[in-house]
Amino acid sequence: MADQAGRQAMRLLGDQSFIGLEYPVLGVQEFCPLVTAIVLAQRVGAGFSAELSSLIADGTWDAQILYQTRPWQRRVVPMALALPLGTLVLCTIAIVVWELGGIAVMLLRSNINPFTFFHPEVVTPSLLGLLTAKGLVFGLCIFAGSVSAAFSGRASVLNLNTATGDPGDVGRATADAVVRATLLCLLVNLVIDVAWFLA
Amino acid sequence: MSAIFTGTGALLLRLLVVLRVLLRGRCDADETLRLVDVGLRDAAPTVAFGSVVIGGIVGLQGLGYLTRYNATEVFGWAAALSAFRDVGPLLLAFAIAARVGTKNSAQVATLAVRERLDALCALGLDPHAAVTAPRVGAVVVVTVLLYPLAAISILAVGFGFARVLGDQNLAVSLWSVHSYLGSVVVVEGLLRLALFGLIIGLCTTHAGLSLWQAQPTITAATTPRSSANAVGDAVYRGSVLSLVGVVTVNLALSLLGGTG
Repeated sequence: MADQAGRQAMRLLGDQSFIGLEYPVLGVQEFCPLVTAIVLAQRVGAGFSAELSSLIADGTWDAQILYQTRPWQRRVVPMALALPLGTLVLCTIAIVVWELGGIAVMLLRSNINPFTFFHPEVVTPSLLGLLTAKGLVFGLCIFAGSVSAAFSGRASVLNLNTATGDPGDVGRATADAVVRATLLCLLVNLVIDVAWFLA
Repeated sequence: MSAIFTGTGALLLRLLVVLRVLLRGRCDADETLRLVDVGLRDAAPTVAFGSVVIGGIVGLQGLGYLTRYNATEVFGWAAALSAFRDVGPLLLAFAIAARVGTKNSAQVATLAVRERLDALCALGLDPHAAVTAPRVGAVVVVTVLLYPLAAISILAVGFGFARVLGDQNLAVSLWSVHSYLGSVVVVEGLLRLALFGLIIGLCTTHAGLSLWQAQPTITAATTPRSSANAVGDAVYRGSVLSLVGVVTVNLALSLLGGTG
């Protein structure tokens, strides 16, 4: 992104030294939370959905309810808490990597001074608030997408009374989880961006 | 590190197998067309929805710079560059990986654990000609066919957002696209998305087929749960693999690409 932005700025303005000022804003405001969420949806969301739908497909979930081992409290609620917090932490790490990656690429490609990227004043408290909100909400979106996909598979098993342990159900639930979480994150991101722009 | 080299080597071998099947003209054309049809019907709503949302993001990002630098004249060009070549293809590849790629992994993995691929071999059919090459080819064709819909939707929604929220003149935006955007950008975007499609098809099919190669382990413990877990795991690995591949290739292409 730094390279693309730098070359576009060079073409239009003949100067790319101001990229260092805009680059952290672009990362904090838009790309780091969004790309982190999409990656997490495909990695953690898919894994969690596969785990839940495997339990559902082979009847372990119903057995755990029958034996009162509280599968919701033991398996689902911890993930509901962990995903938003984990997304937020990973967003923060992503921003550091984003900044370092931009500095390295611009230094190697265009010989831009790395110190032009050091502008902590552009990351205002309101921008940090936006990042926090996006991180937490995206985590909840991934959780909602993966759990709803896993349990929609359960509904079809109960309705159709098919044989349990169907690998196809697990595959479908995992694929659906990725789609739901990704689209939900994109949609929520747009809603937050519009609200931010209007505010 | 050795896992990365092993994985990359396995993917390259899979690519060679697909190319060999295609060059010898042994790819099952009917199956490829069927998969393209199914893939288009599956992915078109997702891509259309994703494009509208991505268009909104592109428009809003452009509006931020529009208000800060009063860059009315270049807004259309910058939005078109994002839609056709930079952000659009990348985020669309994510959407296609999520919709078409994960389903592809799930189907191939299910074929593997249900021993359908062995059945194909027993019938004297080549699973690579009947399953692998059509699936990889179909993902590429679906990706390329969806590109115009996606890119134009992103641009239209981006311009719409700029008009409604930022009072950006639509005629100026269109003039900017016409004046500054070269046709090479559209070709670059199309090639980029086709390459992403190839990576997604290859990675997700490879993840599914890896169960077939590991089948003695799976069938030894032939409980439904182990099969179900294996399919879930294959979808998960295919998804992550295609994502890493797309991001890496995007970086390489960006470093090699022009300014548009």
